Amino acid sequence: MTSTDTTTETRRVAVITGAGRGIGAAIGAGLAADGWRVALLDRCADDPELPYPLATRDDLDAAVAAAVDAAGDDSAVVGLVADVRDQDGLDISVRDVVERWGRVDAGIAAAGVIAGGPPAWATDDVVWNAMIDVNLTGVWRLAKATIPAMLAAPEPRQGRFVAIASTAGMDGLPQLGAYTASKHGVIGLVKSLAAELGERGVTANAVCPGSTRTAMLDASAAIYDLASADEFAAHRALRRILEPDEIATAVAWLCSRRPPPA
Amino acid sequence: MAVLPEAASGMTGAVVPVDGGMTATLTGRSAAAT
Repeated sequence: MTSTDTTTETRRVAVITGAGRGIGAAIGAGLAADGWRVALLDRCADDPELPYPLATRDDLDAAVAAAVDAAGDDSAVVGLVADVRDQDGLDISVRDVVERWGRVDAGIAAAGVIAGGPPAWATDDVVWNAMIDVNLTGVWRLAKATIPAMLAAPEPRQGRFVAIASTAGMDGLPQLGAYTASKHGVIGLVKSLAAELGERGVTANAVCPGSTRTAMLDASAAIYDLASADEFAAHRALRRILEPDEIATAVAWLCSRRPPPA
Repeated sequence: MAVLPEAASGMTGAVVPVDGGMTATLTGRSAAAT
């Protein structure tokens, strides 16, 4: 047995929501390239409460194929249809992963949606509830599904919980009050998880992407009546739109662990 | 610029911005990228 992550004995397992496309799919491919086994979860259906198309089954199949290519091993990747609005579906998926690979080492909450337009006080109840339910409660549901599995590992543990929040989790954005509130909530939840889990060997961290080239950014541009999501670039520190794999790199680092002593 | 350890094994409760950017005025309104 070696100390690398690619041996059968030590290959770690990640469960990733919102993995059908965008940042979630990039995280799946990135972790797979790093030697992880990855379960890519996605709802694979539109939501009548949201004004733009969500990922499809074809998207999830493509994400699985990309992760398989990255892993060089088609047994290291599985795609599962599961919605973060459905606790039972997440629980069943995690049980499937544990039965398949025997462990869960990381929960990555990448499922997120956006809607807005009116000011916060005029936000439609349906939009408000959808933002909170998917973006915030969905993260909590993944924590409920994955953290007990991580705590089931023998000590010393190196479990990882990472939530994709947003720069909207740190700043107030106009016309996106519900989205902004949900992302601020994600950061609060992650900080509480960190306080609860630190002594148990499981870390919890949040990543806040700026404008990233995804379908959700196109939906954001539509909210602001922009001709193209590229118009966001001028307002970013780097003056460009980020690629999903740049966010995946930050997540992979947060999921990394120190190598064992030689 | 941040100086980071090679592995994040000791980091928890962190909020990691990736190009946090700034708010700006877009199409005549105050808006910000997500």
